[in-house]
Parts: sequence; structure tokens; C-alpha cells
Amino acid sequence: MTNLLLLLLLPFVFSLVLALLPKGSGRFVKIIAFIFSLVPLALLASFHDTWHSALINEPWIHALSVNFHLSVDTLSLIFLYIVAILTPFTILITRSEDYENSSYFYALIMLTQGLLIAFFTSRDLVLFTFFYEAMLFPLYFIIATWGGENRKDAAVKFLLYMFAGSILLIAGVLAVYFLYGTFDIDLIATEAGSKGIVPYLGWIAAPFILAFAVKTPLFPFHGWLRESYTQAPWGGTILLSAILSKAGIYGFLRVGKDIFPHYFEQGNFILLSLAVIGVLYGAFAAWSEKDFKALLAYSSFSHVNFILAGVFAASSVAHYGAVLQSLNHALTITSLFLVAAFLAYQLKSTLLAKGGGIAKLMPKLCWFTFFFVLSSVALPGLNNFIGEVLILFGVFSLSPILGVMLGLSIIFSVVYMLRYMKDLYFGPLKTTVQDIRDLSLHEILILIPLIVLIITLGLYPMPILTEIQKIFTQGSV
Amino acid sequence: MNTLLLAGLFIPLASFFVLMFFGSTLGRVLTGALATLAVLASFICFSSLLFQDIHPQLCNTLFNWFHVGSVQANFTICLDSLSLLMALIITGVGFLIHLYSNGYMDHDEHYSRYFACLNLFIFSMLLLVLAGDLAVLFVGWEGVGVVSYLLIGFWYEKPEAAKAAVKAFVVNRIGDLGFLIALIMTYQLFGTSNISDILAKAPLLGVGTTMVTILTLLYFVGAMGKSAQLPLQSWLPDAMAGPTPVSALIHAATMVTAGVYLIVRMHPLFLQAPTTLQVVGTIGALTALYAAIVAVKQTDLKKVLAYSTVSQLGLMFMACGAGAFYAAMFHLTTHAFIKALLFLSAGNVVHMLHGETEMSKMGGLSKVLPKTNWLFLLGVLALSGIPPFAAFFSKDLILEQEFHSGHKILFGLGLLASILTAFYLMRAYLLTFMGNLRSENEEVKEAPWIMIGPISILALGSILGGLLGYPYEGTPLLESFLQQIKLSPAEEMLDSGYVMTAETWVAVGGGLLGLFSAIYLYFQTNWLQRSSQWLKNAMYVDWFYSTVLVTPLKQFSSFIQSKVEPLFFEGSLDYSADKVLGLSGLVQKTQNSQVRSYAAWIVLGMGFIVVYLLIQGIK
Repeated sequence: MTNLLLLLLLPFVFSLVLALLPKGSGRFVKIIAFIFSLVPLALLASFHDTWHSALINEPWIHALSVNFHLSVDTLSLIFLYIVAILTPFTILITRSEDYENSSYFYALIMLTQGLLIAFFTSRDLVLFTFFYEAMLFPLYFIIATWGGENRKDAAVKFLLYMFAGSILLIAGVLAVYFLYGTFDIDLIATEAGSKGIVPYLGWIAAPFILAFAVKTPLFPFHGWLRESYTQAPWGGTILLSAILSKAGIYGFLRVGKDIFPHYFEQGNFILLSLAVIGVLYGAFAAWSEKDFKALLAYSSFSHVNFILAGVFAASSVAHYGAVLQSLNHALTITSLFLVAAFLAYQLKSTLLAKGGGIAKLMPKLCWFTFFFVLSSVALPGLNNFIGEVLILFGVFSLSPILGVMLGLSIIFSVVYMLRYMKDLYFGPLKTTVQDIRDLSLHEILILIPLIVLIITLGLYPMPILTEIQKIFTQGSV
Repeated sequence: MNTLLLAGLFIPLASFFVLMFFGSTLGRVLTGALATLAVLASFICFSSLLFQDIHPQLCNTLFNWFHVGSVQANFTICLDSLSLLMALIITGVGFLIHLYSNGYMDHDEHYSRYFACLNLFIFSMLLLVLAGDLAVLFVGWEGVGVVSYLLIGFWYEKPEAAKAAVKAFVVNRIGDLGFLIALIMTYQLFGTSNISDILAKAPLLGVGTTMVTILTLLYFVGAMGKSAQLPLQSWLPDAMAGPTPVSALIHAATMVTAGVYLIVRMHPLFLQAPTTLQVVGTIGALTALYAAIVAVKQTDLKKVLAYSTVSQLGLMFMACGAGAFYAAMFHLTTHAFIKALLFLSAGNVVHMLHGETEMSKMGGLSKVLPKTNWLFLLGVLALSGIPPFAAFFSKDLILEQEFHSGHKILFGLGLLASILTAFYLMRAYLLTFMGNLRSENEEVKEAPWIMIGPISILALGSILGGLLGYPYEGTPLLESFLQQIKLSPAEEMLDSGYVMTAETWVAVGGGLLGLFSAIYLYFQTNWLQRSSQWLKNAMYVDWFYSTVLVTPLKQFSSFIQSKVEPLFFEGSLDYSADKVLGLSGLVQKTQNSQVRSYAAWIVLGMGFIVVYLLIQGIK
């Protein structure tokens, strides 16, 4: 109880502290923010074995039977780790000297972290929905204030699209309430498991699906993606791609498992097909992209749709794969955006055409980038391979044709990622920018933990696979 | 746990890490020495394993890799006589090529990167052949692909090298998709990817059932990619953009034989699928012939050898198709020696001419490179199937097996390919070493001992290698060695009454015909020098792929980028955003940050709600 409360509250407190710090203390603020961002990870890791008993359940609005109900199960725990591990990188990649009022920027990141932690632990649909919606605001400000040239446009579109996606969510939540007489997800899970499919259940599920589909995003709800990802500052891009997309995936898994278990077990062929199309569509979009930040954005889009294919397939193996891939995708896309940011800082551009032959000037960065590219194309022995095999196995068992289409992504991912490598790093040196320097020791140290995790998850995933397999055996399913 | 086995596998990896992290501080001599000695140590480990009893196999399970339902794999390393043979070839030839590279790369500034990659290659290839589980095999399989990419693109400043590297990786990935889907089907059918378990259960699938046919065909697609068989052959000639020792080791002697190894390793499964074996044999024969024809008019010395490799691999697959797995392995072994010999001799030429590979710029080099001249000629004779050199025994065995197993057409195609082999190799030799000295470079001189030495050892192997398969005392040495793993149940049925049969004389006659017609044409006409654009461009297969496949896909991708994304997805978003804002009368206000303050109010309100919630929660 205390631990969970600390985990929940500290990021909000930190956010407030950062916002109140005096202006103009750039480097100092960054160090403080970085230390703050590590606290949730420290909490998670030091009480690792006790989280399953963590529970807060206080009555709140009696008339509506809304409870302040938070708890942690394995599914929550994995997504909490994703937030806790990757948020610090969004701070590390930010160069305080570039930002006015950088303390506000860090405060917003901590606020997002707090809201995500709250979202991943909420067990009451009202809280769940509230925190889900609330995440948009810090991100809106991050994009609108510290983004690129079209930041305001991008931020407004981001906000509108997200609102449009989840405008019906409240109706869906109310419908679930009228069906089961409670907002408590655990109680609903027990009910839903025994009740089976009731009339109009599909209509009730639809607003949930739409809301999560927009946030992840599932094809074709990605209209906001390119502009938001490219206009956001690098830290914001990592937040969007590595962490926020996981809120959508978590939403699908949580609501699918606990509120609509029958649909979840049966899978959904239309959604599965959309996800498979999304995987290939993202790959094709990335192939001709001229801006490397956008290329990585589409690559991320392609990979999250791969995860969604695992979510929508009626196969427990694919579901395990989807959870594992959520972690793997977060690690890999963060790494890719980090090395891209290091390059962009030196090149002062995110256009592929400005690169060429950079390997000569930045050999270390080239090696690191290549390693992360290998992780991204699911090289066996690195993290993404096993997750993708599990998802492919699940999808292929349902429909060999969809399985092969999904499998095509292992060819196309190489096509666009190697084009990215070739255009930037190989060929004759083209850039006219003076004083390009290779990675500093400080920057290498940022990348090392990610490399360690990528290799460890690739070669020794059994501990986490064992955990994941508990998710869908315990509880109602 | 067998320490020798694990040491043999992991020493090159350890050396890779040392070179990767400390390569820049080690200095040239130490870097080369470390890399070379690591492979030598590995070779010694595997050689000592020859004297241990490993029958039927020696397995070490390192750890449980992943296990989810029927998708499961242990990280298992297994040694049997087949993988030991491969490991000896890899580390043996690998050691010689490392040694040679000390001379070849002496002027290159990226010395440590080169040797690090070469060591990593040895490790990945060893992992591929020692894997006791298909998933582990796949790690090595893709690993060698990555190293191949790195080494083809070694001189990354050259656009054609960077391009060839990408092409090699992508084409390999097409094959790998076949492998991956086969792996997934394997999990469905067998519930494991452990090779021994699969092979033990293979008979349960029944002979010729659809499932086993599809499964084996998919594995063969993987093999086609890695071993450059039609229609996935076009990456290998381009791969010659890498340093020549790399071409010798990776793109001739070892990596490209991985496809053959895979089929031989999985042969009990393939024997369940006669249709697949027919496909394997036919594709092998067609590739052997296609590449041999195309090699006749190549003007680049390395490309002649590259097409020759494709052609010889085709012969090995042809043998597999007829169930002659031992013959395939025998030819793989002799070919490894001979092709490394040819490539390294060519490497001397290229090195001494400062990177020149066009044969039109060569000629008359026998005068300045006398030793290389003889070594290359030896390689030509050996691969042409002239007795008593190595490939005579192995190639003859393949042709004989084809003939006796009733594949008369394939026998004919194979014979034709081997006549052409003798022809184009002799042509390459004549154009390079005979005639007038055409190079303007006056300082051309014979390669140093560190380059000549390893080639001489390979030459010895090319002369004596055939004895491994010579039945002077009952069963040949190599055959009885491989018999431990029952490599040749089908072959036992075939009579190998060797050396005496009519087909043997036909084959030898064919080789001589090829050699002498090349010599005749060289001295009597200028046909050998005459160009043929159609053949030089490999019958425009590349052009065909690019027009029919790559360009339309690329156009589709540009269409998505230039039309679908901006006009449809983002466009509709812009449109509805404008509408929504317009309805609220906020169109202008978006421009002057009014929306921001509006949103700020929401956040402020939300902040109050959070505080309220938390207070409620704590209470």
C-alpha cells in the first residue's frame, strides 16, 4: 500500500518541485530531473517481489460506486517497468541549453510519467479513463512549446485526433457500468467471465477499441503520427513512440482480458487484418521517406502494428508475444531515436539527403546505430526475434496467408532500415557542416544500458517469458 | 560439457570482442596475429576432437532459450561428424585466409575492423554448423548474413560497395523468410526445433504428404538465398565488391555452402519429400548451367570466380536432389579448397595491381607473378575435374550418382556445366596470365610469403583432397567418416564402381574438351576477348527483377509518401481540424496561441481534479 502510494505520488510531487525551481539553472535542473525520473525504477526494482500484493482500494463516490482502486498484476508490472526504464532517456537526450524554461519541460515529463503509472495501476474504469485522457495534456504542451517549426499545428492536431478517438469512451464506460453495475474492473472481470457474450457487447467494445486504436496507433488511425512524431522534441518523440503507444496496447490487453474476455479469446479477424496491413503500410511509407526522424516514426508505426497483430490474434502464444514485444519495441525505438538525435544534433538536420559517408566522421555512432538497426530488424539473438516469432506463430496458426504477409515485414524492415544506414553513413562524404564530432563517453554511457537489455532479452528471455505466461492464466481467462 | 568444443566455438568470439574494443590500441601486427591465432586455436580444438569418440553426437545444452507452449528452443551445441567436417573446413580454410589477410590488408587503415569482422564471421559460421537446434542455427544463419553485409560494404565510401552490401542482405532476407516460416511450421508440426527430435519424428509425417513437401520447400527457399541459387542468385556476383580474401572465405568456401549444409543436415526430412528433392535437383542443375554460361563472358576476374561458385553450388544441390548427400559434402569439401585457392591467387593479382579486377587490364602476368601463375593454373585444372586433382573425384561422383539414380537429363546438364567450367576457367587464366604484359604499372612484383604460403597449403589440399574420397581400401575415408551419421542410405544403393565406368571417362573428356577449346580459341581467334553484353549482364536477370519487382514496389512506396499520406490521412485530419475549429470560431485563434491558453485551462482544472482524487484516495 505504502509502496504503491509512493510510486503513484512521487512523480507528481517531482513534477511540482521541478516546476517551482528557479529559472536558468539548466544543467542542474537536468541532473535533478534525471535523478527524479529514476525513482520509480528504483522503487519497482527494490520491492520487485511485493508488487503483486500492492493494493489501494478506497471508496470514493458512493452514489456511483466509484472506488479509488489501484493494484498491480503482472500485466501492469511489465508496463510499469516500460515507463520506469525509458522515461529517464527522454530527459538524457534533452539538451537543456536549447530550451528556455527547461524545468517546465522536465516537469511535464514527470507529470506524464505519473499519469502513466496511475493509468497502468487503475482498477476502476472511471480512474482508468480519467488518467488515459489526462496524458494528452502534458504531451500537448511538450509538442506545442518545444517542438519544431510547425509545433503548434502539430500539437492541435494531436489533441483533436486523440479527443475524437476517445470522445465515445465515456459512453462505453457507462454502458459497461449499466451492464455490470460497477466500475470496478476486477469485479467486472469475474462477472464478464461467467456471463458470456451478452447482446450489443460488440457495440460496447467499439468505443474502447477506437480510443486505443488512435493512441497506439492502429492502421488507419495514424493520421496524427508523422507530424506529431517529427515536430515533437526528441524527448517528446521517445515519449510518444516508446511509452505512449504502450498505453494503447495496454488498454487493449487490459480491457480485452478483463471486460471482453470472450472477444479477446476469439480474436478479431478484421482488426487483425488492419494490423497486418499497418505493418506493411508503415514499412512502405518508411521506404520513401526523406526525413529520417519520420522514417523512424513509420518504422515505429509498423512495429506497433506487429504487436497489435499479436493482440488481435486468437492465440495465447501471440498474446505472450505481444506483451514481450511491447517491452522490446520500447527499448529498440528509444535506442533508435537516441542515436538519430545524436546524429541530428551534429548534422543540424533530420534530412537523409544531408547525410552520406558519416561513418567516416562518426564511426562509433555508426556502429551503435547499426546494432540498434539489427535489433529493429529482429535479428535472432537480439530482443525482437523471439517476440516476433511468437506473434508470427500465433497469426500463422490462424491464417497462413496473414502469417506470410506479416512475415514479409522481415524483408521490408531490412529494406528501409538499411536504406537509412546507407544514405546517412555510407557512400562518399557529403555534409558541409564543420566540426562534426563522434559520440562522447557521456553519450556512449547513455546507450550502454539499452544494449545490455537488448542482448539480455535476446539471449535469456526466460525469466520474463515465465512472468508473462502468468498473465493470461491467472484471473478470469 | 565438452570444453574443447566450446573453446573452439567461443575463442573467435572472444577475439572479436577484444579487437572491437581495443583494436585501435593494439597496433597492426598484434591485431592480425591475435585474429589469426584465435582461428588457429579453434582449428586445433576441432582437430583434437577428431581423436575423441563423438559417436553418434556430442551435445551440450547451454541453457533453455525460450519456451512458450510448443514454441521452444534450448541453446544446444552439437558435434557429429558432419558438423566436425564443416568446422574443420571453416577454421582450417579460415585460418589460412586470416593469415593471407595479414599481407593483403597491410595498407588498409581499417585493419582492426576487418579482422574483428572476420573473427565474428568464423564464430557465426561455427554456430551455424554446430547448432543442435534450428532456432540456434538461425542465429548463426542470420549472423553470417550480417557479417557478410559488413564485409561486402567494408569499403563503404564506394557507392557500389554500399549498394552491393544492402542487396546481399535483402536477398538473403527473402530466403530467410522461407526459413522463418519453415521454423514456425516446424513448431506446429513437431512442437520443437531440436534437430535430432525433428529428424527422429520426420518419418511420422509420411512420405510425400503436402505438409512435408511445403516444409522442406520452405527450408530450401532459405538455402537458395544463402547459397545463391536461382532465382536468388544475383547478390553473389555483386558481393565481389568486398576485399578478395572475404570473397574467398565467405562468398566461396564457407557461408554460401550453408544452404547445402542445411539440406544435408535435414536430409531425413528431405527424403520424406520426393517432390522437393526433384525441385532441389532441377534448380541446382539449372543454376549450375546458367552460371556456367554467364561466366563465359565475364570480363571481371572476380566475377568469373563468383559465377563459378554459384555454378558449383548448383552441382552440390543437384547431388542433394538425387539423394547423393555424401557426394554433395565431398564436393563441398574439395570446392572449399580449390575455390579459396583460386580466389586468393586472384587476390595476389588484384593486390599487386592495386585493386584492378578487369581482365582487359591484365594479361602476361605469368612473367611478373610466376608463383601465382602456377597456383592459379593448378586451381583451374583442379576445378575442371582433371585427374588426379581433388574436384575430379568429387564432381565425377556427383555426375555418376545422377546417372545411376536415373536422372539422365540432370546428368546431361551437369556434364555441360562442367565442360563450361573448364572452358571459362581456362579463359580466365589465359586472359590474366598469358599474352603480353598489359599493365602499365611497372612495380608489379610477386606477393610476399605471407600470401603465397597459405595459397600453397590450399594448393596441396587441392591436389590431395580427392584422396579423402578415393576407395583404395573399401569405403573411402570421408564416406566412412560421414557414415557415422548415416549420411548416405540412398547412396549405398547406388553402385559407385568408380573411376572405371564410362561416365567417368565422359566427364574427364568433357573437362579436357573445355580446357583445350579455350586454348584453341585463345591462340587461333580472338573469340575469348570478344564481348557479349547479354552474357556479361547475366542475361539481364537483374534488370528484370528491378523492372518487374523493385521499381513497382518503390513506386508504390512513393505513392504512399506523396499522395496517400499527405492527401488522405493527414489531409483528412487537416480538413476535419479546420472544420472543428471553424465551427467553434477558433480558426484565427489557433494562430495566436489562444488554443494553448484554452488547453492550459483544461490542464489547470485537471490538476485540481488530480489533487482532489489523491486526497480522496489517501483519506
